[in-house]
Amino acid sequence: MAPISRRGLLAVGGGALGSTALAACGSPAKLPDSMEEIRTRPDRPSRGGVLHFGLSTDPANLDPHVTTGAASDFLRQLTYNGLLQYDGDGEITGDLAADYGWSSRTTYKVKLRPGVRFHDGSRLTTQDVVFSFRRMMDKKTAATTGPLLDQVDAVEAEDATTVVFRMKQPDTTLPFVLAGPTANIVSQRWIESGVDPKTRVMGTGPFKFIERIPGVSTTLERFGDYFDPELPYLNGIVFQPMSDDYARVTALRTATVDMIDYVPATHVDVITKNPRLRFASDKTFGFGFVGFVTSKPPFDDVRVRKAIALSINRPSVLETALLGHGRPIDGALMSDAFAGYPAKLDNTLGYDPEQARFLLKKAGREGMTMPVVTTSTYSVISRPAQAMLPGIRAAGVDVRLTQQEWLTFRASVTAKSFPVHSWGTAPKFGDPSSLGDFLSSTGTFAVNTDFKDERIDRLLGEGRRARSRELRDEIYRDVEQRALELLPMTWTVRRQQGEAHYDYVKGYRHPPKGSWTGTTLRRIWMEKTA
Amino acid sequence: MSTAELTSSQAPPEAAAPARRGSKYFLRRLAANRRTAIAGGFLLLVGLAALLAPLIAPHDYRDIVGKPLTQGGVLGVDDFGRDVLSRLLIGLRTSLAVALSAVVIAGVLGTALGLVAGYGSRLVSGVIMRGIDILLSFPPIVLAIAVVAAMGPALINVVMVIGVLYIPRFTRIVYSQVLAIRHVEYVEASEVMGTRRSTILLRTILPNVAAPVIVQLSLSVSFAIQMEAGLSFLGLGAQPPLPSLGTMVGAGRDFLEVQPSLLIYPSVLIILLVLALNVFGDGLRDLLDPRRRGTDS
Amino acid sequence: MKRFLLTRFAQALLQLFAVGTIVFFLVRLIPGDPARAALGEGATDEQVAQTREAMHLNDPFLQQYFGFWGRLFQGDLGTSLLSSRPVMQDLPTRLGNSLELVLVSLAIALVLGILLGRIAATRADKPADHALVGGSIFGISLPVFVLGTLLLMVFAFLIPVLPPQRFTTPWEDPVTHLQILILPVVTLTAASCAVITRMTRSAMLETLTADYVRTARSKGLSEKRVIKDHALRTALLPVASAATIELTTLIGSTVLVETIFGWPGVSSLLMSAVGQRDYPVIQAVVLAVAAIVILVNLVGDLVIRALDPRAEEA
Repeated sequence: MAPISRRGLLAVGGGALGSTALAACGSPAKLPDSMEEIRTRPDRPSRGGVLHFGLSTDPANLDPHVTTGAASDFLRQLTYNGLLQYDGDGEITGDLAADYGWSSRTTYKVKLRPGVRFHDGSRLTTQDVVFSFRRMMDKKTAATTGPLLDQVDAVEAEDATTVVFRMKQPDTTLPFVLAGPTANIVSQRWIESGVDPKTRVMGTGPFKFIERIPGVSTTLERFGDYFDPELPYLNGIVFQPMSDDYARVTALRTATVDMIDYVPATHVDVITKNPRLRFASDKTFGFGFVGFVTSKPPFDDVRVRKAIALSINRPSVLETALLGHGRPIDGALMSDAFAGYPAKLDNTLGYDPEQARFLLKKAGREGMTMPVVTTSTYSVISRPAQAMLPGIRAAGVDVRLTQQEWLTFRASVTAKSFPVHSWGTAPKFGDPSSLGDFLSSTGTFAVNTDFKDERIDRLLGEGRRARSRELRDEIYRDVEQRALELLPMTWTVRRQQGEAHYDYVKGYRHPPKGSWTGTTLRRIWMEKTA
Repeated sequence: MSTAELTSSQAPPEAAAPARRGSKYFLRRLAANRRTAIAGGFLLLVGLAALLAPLIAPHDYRDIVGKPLTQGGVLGVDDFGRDVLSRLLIGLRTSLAVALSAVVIAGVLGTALGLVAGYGSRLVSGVIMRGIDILLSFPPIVLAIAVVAAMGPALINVVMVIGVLYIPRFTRIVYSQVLAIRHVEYVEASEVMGTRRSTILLRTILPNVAAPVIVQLSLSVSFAIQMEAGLSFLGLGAQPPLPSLGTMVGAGRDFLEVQPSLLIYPSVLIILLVLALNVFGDGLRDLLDPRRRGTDS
Repeated sequence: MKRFLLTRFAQALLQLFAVGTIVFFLVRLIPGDPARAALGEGATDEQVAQTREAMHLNDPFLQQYFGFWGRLFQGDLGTSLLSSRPVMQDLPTRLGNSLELVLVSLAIALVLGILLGRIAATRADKPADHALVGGSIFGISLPVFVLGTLLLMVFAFLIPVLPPQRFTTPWEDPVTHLQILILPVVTLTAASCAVITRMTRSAMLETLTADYVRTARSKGLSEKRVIKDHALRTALLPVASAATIELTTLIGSTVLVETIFGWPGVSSLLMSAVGQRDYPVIQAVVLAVAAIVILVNLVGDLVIRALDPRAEEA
């Protein structure tokens, strides 16, 4: 019998819910101390140890196919595998797939690795793969990749080791979708046994899920039968949710945790100055933008939108909001880490309050009042919103900022209750076709601006079907250019974003380009003697 | 109602006797205590600074005046390149404005409810006092968070929430005071004489509960400043770029190592302000309500 | 007494019902969609609508409302919309963590406050009294989040004797648990201790001049005995009622303390549930906390009534 906890007794003493307090003897699962031991091996990564990881959000929903953000993707990618993945250089490579590629313009074939086992010991079959994709495409799942698989006509098992994707029309984005952090393969038998995949985890990944205690920890333990016998090097990973930026950075600096995600710009200097800490980051994914409701005056007038775009002092926003940790975007959105970056569009939107005043005057909107909404929940979004105000005021606009809590902000943006919103996000995957989220008339972010341009829609459609590299580059350059002319949104700054860890944590690489992925965490080791 | 009657031996001991002797006498007594005098002087200074903030601030609190996180100006430049002194002044103004308006709302509504409950029928008083109990069964900041989240984080909402949350403080005090004096002879005499109830309430009873209410007002301001600061610290208060002392503390946390003054200045100002209000409130209580010397609430 | 008990009890139940009703409607007034929270940033509107349906958020309002009370009467506090964990699974632990902070702080505040208040009262208008009165005003004037932030700064970096450590339960590692308990408890204790000191001091001063104490003195009892047997005991009555108020304040303050120190208590559960509009969790947490507050007040009333003969007449 488990000992009755003191807290349980306190709960009874407090009179609250006395009858049930005894049931909750919730001592967090602790990995045995022996697991902390690290074995050094000559010329090879050390084995053993438990990594303690301070996570910016507490992943509430563990569903393999629904993401609530990059933090929860770490968990997903450590416990599940997809068919494809991004390697340390950001290139697509096989994960569960041993071989993969287009066999015709509308047929994509994936040959599975042999000998892959799930955590319950059962073998991975092509039927599991087919089942997994049907689950993602089932609207009831509300899978993150669901809408991206809209061009898939059918997923079939060709034989015991090959899966075939039949497309309605050519779609160059499929490999990016398959390598995404939520295109995970689950066991059909496990899901159909009636478990709740939101609270339980059972995949093929290098770590097994032990327990999640909301607000305290999520514990993973090494999976001994992982298909790569060398991996994982660690015995376990304990994620601890620390949503407060200051608390998270403090926890790292005081060695409460070995690693944290999402280093806020305001703390980058403190971390980079510490010789024992490493900051693994990029300046290519995360960016800020200002969206206009283009269906209503005054922002139905492109001159007004352009005036605001010109009055945002991007270098100043970067220097103050992000303390210089990032880059201004005055040209194309998709960064130069992506192939075919149209450098000739750079400097299209320099800071020019005089021109902005002139445009506003021409539009008859001199000295107009401009309500802007942003969210207070993420400093990486609220700080740039605050920092752009002086520039806009210099153009004679009476700008009024309202900060709302995240979900309230989302509701306001969806309802278009503010004519302008200041937001920040990252492209969904590492290909210019993800511009569609922001510019196509049905794009996830574009719908908030009521923007519709037939030419852009047509170009984006052609881009997904185009095969030659040159043609694709040309198409997306046109899209970027048109976006800078019509300005349903204006891009502000790219932020430096990344993870920080102690120097004894080895092998971690922040994805340098392409798309967000946490797969390098599968391959890290520790050289600590603790 | 004459002064003589009020100070007569039949009057309850809580009677607002000193308040009736003219404001000059009152101020002299208040200033006689050195601690109270210092606190009062500080509050006067701070109040004046807050009132004149837009005029005396060296810069517009929204403008970029220098390189972020440097020592320019009198108190330095914050992370957005804005003048810290100007922001402290405006922040002080915001915090004081919110706290004062909230407490005035609470004081007026709370006193009115207390009077009605104390002097009204059993049913009326039962309903009011049970409502107060319900309000008290939420931890205040929890209710504030939920309400501000529902109504949106605007200053006016913060004022209203704090105002409503502090109603019980006044209602309870006034209610018990009214109960204590409603059966005192001169009140009953007025009733017998056929004076209208509302007249009795306003002319006879209200002056007698004034003293503890005034004391409670001054103490509540200090709590309201802390509550506003707490809500702002959690991002539910003043909207940027408008500062309040609480938002400045919250924002200053991020720059503890680079520029600790960003955290320390607003923190110290909050502490001093609340300290002065408490000391002053104590002095006020000692004077108005000698029996309750040094107690809280 | 029996009738009083019954009325008070009925009132408490009514209060609880009102709190539950207010919370039920209040949380649904907060703009924002739990389905959106569950699906993350990139979800399409169609997916959100689908998930709303699955979460039964489109059911008629009254049906949801009565369902909430119906389940509650069967002892079911509901299930998190996001994690699909029963609230019962997490609430007792989290509540326990918070109550640990609150009760330890209150206990220290009471012991220390009564002690200091007694010292101040027996040395009225002497330097020790002035120092204590000044100190207690200072304690009351320190906002919780300012004190907490400063303590963290000082003891984590400047004098790193109490660096933040990962949360450890007492039966896992009592020493570590005590270490991480210190700063949050000090933060919470400061103001309460100050209030209790002031309360004890003034109540004792009042009783020390009261008639029966004078009588006791005239009977030739030693001053020590007078203080211990008469003055202090009577003075404890207002202190007891102050303690019940402090308990409520402390529970409220845990919102800030748990944020600053990363303490996995009920307030951080509530804050994250509010952030995700996880209605069942918010309802359950607020109801549980309100139940505690109401119960504490009820017990407080009963104790005061039992101790104070005057209350019987009123």
